[in-house]
Amino acid sequence: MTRPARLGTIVLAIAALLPLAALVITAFGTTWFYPALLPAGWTLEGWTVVGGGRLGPAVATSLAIGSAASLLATVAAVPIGRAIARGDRLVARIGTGAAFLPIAIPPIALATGLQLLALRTGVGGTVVGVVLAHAVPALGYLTLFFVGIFRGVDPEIESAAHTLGLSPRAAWRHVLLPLLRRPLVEALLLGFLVSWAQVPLTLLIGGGAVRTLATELLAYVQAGQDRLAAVSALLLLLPALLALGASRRLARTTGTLAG
Amino acid sequence: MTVLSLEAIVAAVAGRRFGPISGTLAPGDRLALVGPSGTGKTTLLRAIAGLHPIASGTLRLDTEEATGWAPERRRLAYLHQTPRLFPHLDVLGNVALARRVAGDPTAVAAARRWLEAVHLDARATDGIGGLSGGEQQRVALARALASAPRALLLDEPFSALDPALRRGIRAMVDEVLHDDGPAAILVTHDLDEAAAFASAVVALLPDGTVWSGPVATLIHTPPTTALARLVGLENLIPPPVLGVGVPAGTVLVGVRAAAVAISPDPAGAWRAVRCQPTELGYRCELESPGGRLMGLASTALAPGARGRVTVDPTRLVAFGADGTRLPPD
Repeated sequence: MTRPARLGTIVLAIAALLPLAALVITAFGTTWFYPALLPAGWTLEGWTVVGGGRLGPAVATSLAIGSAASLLATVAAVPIGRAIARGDRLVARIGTGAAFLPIAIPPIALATGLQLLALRTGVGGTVVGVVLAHAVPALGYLTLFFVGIFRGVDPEIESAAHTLGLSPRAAWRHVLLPLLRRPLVEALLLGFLVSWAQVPLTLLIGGGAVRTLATELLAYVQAGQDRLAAVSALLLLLPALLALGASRRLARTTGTLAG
Repeated sequence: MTVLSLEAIVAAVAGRRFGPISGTLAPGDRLALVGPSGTGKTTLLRAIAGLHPIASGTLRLDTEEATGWAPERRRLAYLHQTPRLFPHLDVLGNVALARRVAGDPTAVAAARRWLEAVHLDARATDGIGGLSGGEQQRVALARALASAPRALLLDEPFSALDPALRRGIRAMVDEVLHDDGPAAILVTHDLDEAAAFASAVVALLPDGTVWSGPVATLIHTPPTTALARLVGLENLIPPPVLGVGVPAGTVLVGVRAAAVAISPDPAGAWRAVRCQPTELGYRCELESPGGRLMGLASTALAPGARGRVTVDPTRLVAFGADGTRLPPD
């Protein structure tokens, strides 16, 4: 490794690890004042709120919303991504443009637009409304993801299956889905992560009635409850780390398609 | 009993129409679809398989009209130029899949039998990634046959293989496609391959015309100059160049190099341009003031050396002004 590369790596590592270190210290430390390098003592007090109070239900809601939004977006993104990948140039241009929109639009602007729709359709302030809203940016990400995946899957493999007598449904089940096993798991993880960290969409569509881990974290920060905010932030980090680990494990254990 | 009937099938792609082609196939029958690149051979074969729309014409399977049928209902197994095996399944899994999905309890046993037929039974549990190109094509052949198709559609499945492997797999196809086996259509631009595979041929020409008939007629007595060029008739020359008797109205004479014997002769009317060794001696190009001629010589002639030619008159094909073959006098 060259010297500039080594220096760059160190700077990156510090930038990534320093906030994490601050979170860990705040979440597990008692009192911590400058210029002490570490807190005066260590405690698990902040973590007791996870099992009860506001944080426990918020985590459960986040898990439920993230899972539902991710599943919804993945189920929709697979055929849409396939249609765009297999379509002509016009379809590809319009399709990828449409998929980029919910990602490219500032989250607060997207949330405002979706809130207006949610209120008119009666799903504002409900978990269902939040799930649908979270599925919108997740669908954008996952559509682009599956466009890339399907561009790597030879459509003639499906043709071969059809001429052997497999119906479109059987070809999906016995040929395409096993080929897409790893990308599907990755898509579910990605969709979950998009939802898991959502704040503007949850706040505007949920209207305060739907409380997730991310919105609770914001509330703790605003209330100056640093330890609870740090605990919430670490919990929010957890799925991202698990997803990264799972993705790496899948990459080692499956030899089908790289996602 | 006819299993596959093509009635003036036309396929179109990007504004170009290919065909019409016609023909009927009973079990064990074989048809070759030949023509240079870009004449729509693969498009027509895909249309027959149901992978591309049929622009016009009628496709019948057994006795039913099947023009609009989905590919899975047609059951015309398509063998691609490169084997499109299912990468998540092992060799046996690939071959057994179609019957297994159909709920056939004998799927695995049947798959094993077909793997034996293509001499790959020892590789049944191997992943397909470890197979050579020829082995993969044999698995694709076994997979197609194991699906119990009405007919086999072969889209130049030997072209990506080296010549020795190609001969081996061609022989294997002959072995497994016996008389009461499925009918088969082969797309190829290689006339030797077509001749080895089928006795009937449909020739597609660059100008969009189509000819069909016995493969022997196409090779020995091509009905038009365009077909003569398609079959690689080396000499298509005005009659005076050869100085042989031809039917009245002959504009061009076609003769294969193999029917033109060249011998060195310092007083000969022909001058050698170049010679190249072949398994039958030397294949030489000669020139005279009237034109050029390709023939065979037992010894190489140096460039510029003189020679004379003897043409086998029974192997001449005469063409009239409209490009069609003239009957011999």
